Amino acid sequence: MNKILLIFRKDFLVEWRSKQIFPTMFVFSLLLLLVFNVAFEFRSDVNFRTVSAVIWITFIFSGLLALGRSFSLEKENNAFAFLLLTPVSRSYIYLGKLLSNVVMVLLSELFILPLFLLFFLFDAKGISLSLTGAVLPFLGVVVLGTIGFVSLGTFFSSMALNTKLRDMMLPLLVFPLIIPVVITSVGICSSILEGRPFGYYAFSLQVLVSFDIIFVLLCSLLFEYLIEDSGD
Amino acid sequence: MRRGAFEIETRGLEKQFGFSPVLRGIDLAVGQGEFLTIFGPNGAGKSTLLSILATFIKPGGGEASVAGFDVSGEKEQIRKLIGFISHNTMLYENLTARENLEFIGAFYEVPDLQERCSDILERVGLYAKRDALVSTLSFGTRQRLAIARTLLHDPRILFLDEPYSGLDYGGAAILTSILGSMKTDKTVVMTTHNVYEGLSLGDKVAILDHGEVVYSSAQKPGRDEFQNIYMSCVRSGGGR
Repeated sequence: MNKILLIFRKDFLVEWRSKQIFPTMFVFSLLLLLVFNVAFEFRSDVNFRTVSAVIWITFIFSGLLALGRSFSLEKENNAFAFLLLTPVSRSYIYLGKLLSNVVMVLLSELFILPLFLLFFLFDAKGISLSLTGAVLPFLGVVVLGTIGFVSLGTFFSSMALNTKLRDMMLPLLVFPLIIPVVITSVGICSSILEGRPFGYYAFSLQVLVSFDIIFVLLCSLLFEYLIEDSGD
Repeated sequence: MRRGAFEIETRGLEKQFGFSPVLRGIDLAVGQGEFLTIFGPNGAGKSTLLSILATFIKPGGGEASVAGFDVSGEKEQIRKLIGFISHNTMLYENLTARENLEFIGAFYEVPDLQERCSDILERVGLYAKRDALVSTLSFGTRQRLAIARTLLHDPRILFLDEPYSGLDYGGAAILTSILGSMKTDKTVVMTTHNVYEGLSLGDKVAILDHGEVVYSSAQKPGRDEFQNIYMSCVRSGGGR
């Protein structure tokens, strides 16, 4: 656990000083939300299913930007190669990178969510749903969905690291595989915004948690094979 | 492969990238405490050989062992025992000199890490720059820091891939002095184009060309003699 936290701490220190990932993600997300808002003609009565899809598309597009950059920073000076030379389990390296990516993406999402509320769920009468009931479950789904797509994104961004077209490869590899996470997350968020009872989306929530567990376990086990021969 | 006879041993070691063979049946044996210098032209396969021995990449064929451990199946045991210096410094630009050392030192579980970092920075003449970001350091200074990081966990075996490349006079002198002081208790394999440093430090020399060992000797030849040997070996082997 200590070694996972070391990688997490190092990534945050590097990001804090370079400020490359977080501002890019925030500005990109803001622009996406603006584009969607203009496309929906500034209306706040868009149905909740569409609104949920908009927020997840925004999260995933901006999240993939961060994931691609996360391993590019490791590639500079080939610092990642030296990390691979240390006697640390590859699973720990994956879990450390996953932890820092999840926290980084979640922080960015935390800044984006108020804008999302303002653009899509706010009208002249105020916010069009009962915030007290929806906020916590909504945030919970955001965390679970983020773990799902970031676990696959972290895995494949390390694979795309040594390809010449890595910025193009990452979405091509990740998008098809995160479809189940996206569909489930959008479905649950939409149910929460519609004010449905917990029992209505409880099964979907179990499915989402299962996706997270399977993706994290599989990726941490397969990471060693993925990065073999990548140190040169 | 029989274990324990040599600290580093390869038999028929092969590697190819795509359809291009890079190593074609390398046989090498380095005893404990020996210093092997490998010379060879660019593209001869020197870096690939060291990358396999340092467990960066898998061998394509043949066998290789380091400290009695197989490079394919016992990587973690090998990684604990080795240090690697490359012409690429492999440092984090946005961390300070000390942070780079502490980050890597923690993975090796170096005891009294902070004190050890201060000592090693002092040894390579970088203590005054301990809090400087790597991105602000010159290439020669970074290379010295890379040397410090490699020595941090006091490795038993050192792989040095063109370590003099890009070093200024002071840095080269520090590296030579460090390597000279370790000659008896560490096993070292170094690749270099620098004939003077390579011959003065090495106990044994080998020449690699087109992925084959075209010359090896347990006794060091003189500098002029070696230059003649090098030219004849590389020329004769370079036409394939």
